[in-house]
Amino acid sequence: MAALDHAILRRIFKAYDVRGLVPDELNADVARAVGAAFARFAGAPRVLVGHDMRPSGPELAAAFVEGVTSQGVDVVRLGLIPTDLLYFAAGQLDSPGATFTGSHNPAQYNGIKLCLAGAKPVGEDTGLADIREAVEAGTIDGGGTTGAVTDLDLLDDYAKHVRSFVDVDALRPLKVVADTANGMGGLVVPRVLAPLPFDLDMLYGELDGTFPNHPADPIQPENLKDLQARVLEVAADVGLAFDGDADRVFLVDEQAQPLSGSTTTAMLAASILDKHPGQAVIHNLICSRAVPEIIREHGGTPIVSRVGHSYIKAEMAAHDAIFGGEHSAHYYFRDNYRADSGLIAAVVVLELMSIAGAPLSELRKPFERYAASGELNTRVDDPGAVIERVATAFTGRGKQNRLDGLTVEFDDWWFNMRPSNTEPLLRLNLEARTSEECAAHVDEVLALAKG
Amino acid sequence: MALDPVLLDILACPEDKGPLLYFESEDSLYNPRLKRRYSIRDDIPVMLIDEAETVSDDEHARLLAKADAEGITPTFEATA
Repeated sequence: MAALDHAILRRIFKAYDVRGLVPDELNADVARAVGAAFARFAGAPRVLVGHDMRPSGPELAAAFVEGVTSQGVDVVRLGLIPTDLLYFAAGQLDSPGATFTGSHNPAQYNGIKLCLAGAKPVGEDTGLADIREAVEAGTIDGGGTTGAVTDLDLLDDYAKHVRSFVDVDALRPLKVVADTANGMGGLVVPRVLAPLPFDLDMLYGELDGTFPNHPADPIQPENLKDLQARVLEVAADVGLAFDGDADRVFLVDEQAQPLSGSTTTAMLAASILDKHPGQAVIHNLICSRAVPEIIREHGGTPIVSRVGHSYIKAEMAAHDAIFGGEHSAHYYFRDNYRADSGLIAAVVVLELMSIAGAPLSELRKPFERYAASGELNTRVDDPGAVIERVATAFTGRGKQNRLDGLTVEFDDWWFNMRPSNTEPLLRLNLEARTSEECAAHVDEVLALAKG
Repeated sequence: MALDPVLLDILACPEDKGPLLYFESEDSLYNPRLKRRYSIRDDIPVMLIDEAETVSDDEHARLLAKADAEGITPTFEATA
């Protein structure tokens, strides 16, 4: 086998997953080598392997399976799956796993998300860098024996597991539009919702990894337009937008107005705490200050985390938290092996709407208390230096902390500024009482950042 | 409904990683080493340590006797 290009490997191994262009950066040779290295790293008797609907998925997954079995480790093939099903399987079967998915990235990309037994995350500091080094070091010798390969279809089990998070008898016949963007949601959303009393209208439900309609990245407002139009056209109660591997969900209300990740986090936390009082809930430090307020009002204990799934999962484990949410629409559930699931978040919101019996545009109001800037990215040469300059400028003003980048808190506004993991970008999030104050403070902080 | 045999073959206790006894009629999976029982809800094994139940000595004896009487064998052969 030809040696793999180290520069390419360094580019495609990201903080939480592997992602690259097929076939120039990510191809069967890379997948086979990562499979062998991951089998060695995980040290378990078997590895679970799945893939999403991207055209390169079957070939890459097959090569990865060869790599795993070359190490004498068995493989259970899960077939075509959404990413949250991998985490469920890794939890239930207490086995490490991998799935090939480009998540929300364009069609030319694919990637690998890995986890350990119990759905424990594999990030840069928790194995991904070791796996990359093993791949760089060259072909790993097998142990002489070849692992066995079996197939297991867990889709119906997963659908039942998702439904177990809600009281099915409490559900009302809501009209639901789901835009799955030709991604994996097209397979799993109907399977989860079919036995429930909802009137489901699927938009772009066909699995097609070339994404003929719009990119599977619902955090971009333009990718919500078709869903918003359909919600109004059919007078739906709610619209759900899933990303390509269906681990994230975004909501739009019956007036086609999107809910932020913070608002959704707060609503999910309130619903879960009302059923399970007194538990800890994790939120990342970019979430609206309304989130910890609402967690407290519902009798929970809010715990703040750095941004990123390995931090959220570690805090959830440390505090035995029942739920965790991020502004980026990742929602984590303790009883889902602490993994994130767009599907579980969706059914919990549908249950909450059913019980409340009010339109989502009304339900959201008590959860939206501040004006947020959203994540503002600024290209700078040296993000670290800019953060220090801003920290110095705010010396003696507000309360500073360095949990993640720089956070400065005042009584009536706050901001966080943190560097991107992968690009020379600064990410600013700012929140204030009113949108006017928010805009004024954004100008003030950005002026300092630009020096 | 009985669990998928492929699934049963690989179900392990998340605590000690060892095999389990499957009591189909009681919708449960039992780890006799830790006296810990995992329930199967709506055909889905709930393999969460937090949700598992530690059984009494009497219940442990009853389960072992039942496994013996009904020929229930561990989900897989434990390897050293």
